[in-house]
Amino acid sequence: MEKAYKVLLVDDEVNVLNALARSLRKESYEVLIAGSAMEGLNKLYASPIDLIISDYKMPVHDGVEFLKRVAADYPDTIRIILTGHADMEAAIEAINSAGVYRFLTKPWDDQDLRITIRLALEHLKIQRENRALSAEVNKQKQILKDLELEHPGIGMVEKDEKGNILI
Amino acid sequence: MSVPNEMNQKLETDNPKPETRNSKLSFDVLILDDDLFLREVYSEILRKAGYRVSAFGTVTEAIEAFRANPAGVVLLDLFLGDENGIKILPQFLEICPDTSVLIITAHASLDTAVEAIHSGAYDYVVKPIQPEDLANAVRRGREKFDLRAENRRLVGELVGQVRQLELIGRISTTITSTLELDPLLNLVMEHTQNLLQAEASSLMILDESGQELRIAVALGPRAEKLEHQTIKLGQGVAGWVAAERMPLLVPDTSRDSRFDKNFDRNSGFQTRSLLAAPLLVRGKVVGVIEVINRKDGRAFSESDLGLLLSFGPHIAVAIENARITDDLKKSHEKLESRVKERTRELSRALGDVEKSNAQLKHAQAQLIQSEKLAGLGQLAAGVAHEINNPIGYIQSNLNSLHEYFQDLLGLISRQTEFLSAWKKNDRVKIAGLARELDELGRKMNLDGLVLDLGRLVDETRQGTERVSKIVKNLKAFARADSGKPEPVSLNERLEETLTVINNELKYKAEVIREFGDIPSVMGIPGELNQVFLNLLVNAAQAIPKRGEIRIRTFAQDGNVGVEINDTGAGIPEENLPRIFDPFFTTKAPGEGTGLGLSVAYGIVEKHKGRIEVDSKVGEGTRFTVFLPTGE
Repeated sequence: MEKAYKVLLVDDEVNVLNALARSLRKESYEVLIAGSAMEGLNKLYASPIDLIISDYKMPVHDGVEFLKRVAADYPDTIRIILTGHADMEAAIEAINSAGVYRFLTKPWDDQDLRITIRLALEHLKIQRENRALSAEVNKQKQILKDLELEHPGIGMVEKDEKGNILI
Repeated sequence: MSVPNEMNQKLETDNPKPETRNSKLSFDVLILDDDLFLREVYSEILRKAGYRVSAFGTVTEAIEAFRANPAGVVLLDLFLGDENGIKILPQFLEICPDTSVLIITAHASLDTAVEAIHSGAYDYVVKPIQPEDLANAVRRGREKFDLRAENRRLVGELVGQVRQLELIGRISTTITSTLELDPLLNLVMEHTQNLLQAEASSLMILDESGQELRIAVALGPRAEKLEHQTIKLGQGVAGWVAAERMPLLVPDTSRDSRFDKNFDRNSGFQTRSLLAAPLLVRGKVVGVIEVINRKDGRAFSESDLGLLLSFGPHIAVAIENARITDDLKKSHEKLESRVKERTRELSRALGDVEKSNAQLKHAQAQLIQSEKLAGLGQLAAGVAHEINNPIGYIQSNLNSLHEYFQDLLGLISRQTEFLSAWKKNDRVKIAGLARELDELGRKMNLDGLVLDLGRLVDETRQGTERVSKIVKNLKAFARADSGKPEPVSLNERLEETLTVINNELKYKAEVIREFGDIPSVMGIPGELNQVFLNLLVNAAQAIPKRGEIRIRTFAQDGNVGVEINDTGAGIPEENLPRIFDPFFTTKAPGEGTGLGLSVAYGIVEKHKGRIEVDSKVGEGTRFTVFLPTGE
């Protein structure tokens, strides 16, 4: 069965990845894992990802570096940091420079994590719906504009004081 | 945001009343900030802390005021309109080099703060300003200013005293060579007496008042009776000669009224004939010389007097020399007592210098302690991360295990039902349950779950082992500070240190251990841990992206060597001589205090060991610590 969303977990520690995948195994999205920022980017380039949870401290490229890259290439992908190294400066930097949606700390609460992801995906869903709707509205507006050019006055709708359309 | 809020807690610092030793200053702190509000805020904070504050909004005003009344501490905002604070900084220091310049900087401009430190600033405070931090920084700056001013004064005093002592030394050398005149006078008199074939002779010196003659040298029988006797001017032959500034020949004393018979009465000597001559120096009488009784019994003659007079000037000069010598002796003594007094003052001053040195040492020790604490804080943060990872997946795995268990429990209860249906041979139920079981098994991915169960337990066990290892090593690492030397196995210490800072290293480097079979050394475990910690953290920080840290231990010539190689940036040759200097750092602000290597150096030196460094830019650095084995 094809799942609606794809979530990518990135951490340099495989035990963390496994535990996260376990706690998300019953969720309604597909869970992918990557052991480094490079691997994560490769997964991302291979197929679009809706949400990424990344560790902060990782060898070679850290989480902020990675998520900055993601933000540049896939601005719609929701980015979350999950770190055991909780300091204010790191959090501020992550939020400001990589546009991180949330900054979570280890040890994490499975329930909290699942809710966060669900809310984020809902956010994403609404965002996408909103975009689709806007596109639709714009399309309609264009049609109306074209019609108005062809038949001036066609877009004018008269209404009475109760809002009823007068024909 | 789920970030702990401890960082927002204010640091509790005690703020003792500032001690204003240097009361010559009209102001303790000069504030230069173009923002009126901030200026008032800073003034208020510092006035409350007991400082006398003057505040200015422009550089010209501030410099002018500072030139007239230098302050111990200058508080300088780095962004003064279009003036660059760093350019202003040397102007203050030029006027008063002892002044501690404290920089106020926005967080975003820490690089500038470091530049300011290199330009001679004492410290910097980051905005937003915490009153305690500001007052503390000013207090430290003030202490440093006082110490510097005091030291400068003491050094000046010492230089002056050394010069004075040198001068005194030269004078007294001259005096000692001139002091040999006393025996010379005796020699002159003996010579004179022999030459004139006299029985006795004496040399009298006119005292400073010019009223009394004192017998300086008396030769002949009973001469000892005459020593230190005084003769009044005009009294007796000698008194007459001195008063009249004329030589006198007395062929027969019994026939000359000028002869004072009391002399003979006192000494028991019988004077028959005598010669006396005044001793003149530059026309002034300095003394009288007398020659008494010819040995052949005859009376003295004019030619005898002529002979005596030819000696006169030499003797006069000798006496004058004696007088000068005497004066010199006296002034020498005076000087000597002054030297003694000066020496006492000097040693007092030295005591003061020692005291202020001790204060500086104390301040340094405090800094080293704060470096240690900063290191510990860093360590604690690292360890927290190190522990949070395994704790995170242990907790999560236990949750999953619980869910697996619930799923399996559901399956088991269905299977029990299935078994009882089987026993009852209820075919309808069996078929229904079999389908249900199949469905359930597929839904929960039974095969995968069973397979994962083993892995879950394994990984969780790894996690708990890792946590207990970290905790064990952290305990060992922290416990070590007993302060007493004990046999230390450096391989074990390194292993402990590596576990504790694994978090700092693993993101930067592959750690390769080449531990040799080495004897233990005598040392303080906690301090040695600190050395390895500092060297290893440095090695990791030297590596820009990813590299290798190779740790080798070996025994060599009664030493144990610990070699820490990194494939990092390397140290430029011009920096090599300074790397062990306190506060020398090439790191970005906030990354290092510049005390790490200096602390390591101090500890190794205390352990009678040494640190060698070998570095090549672009290739890496090798630090080797040598510690002597056993006693």
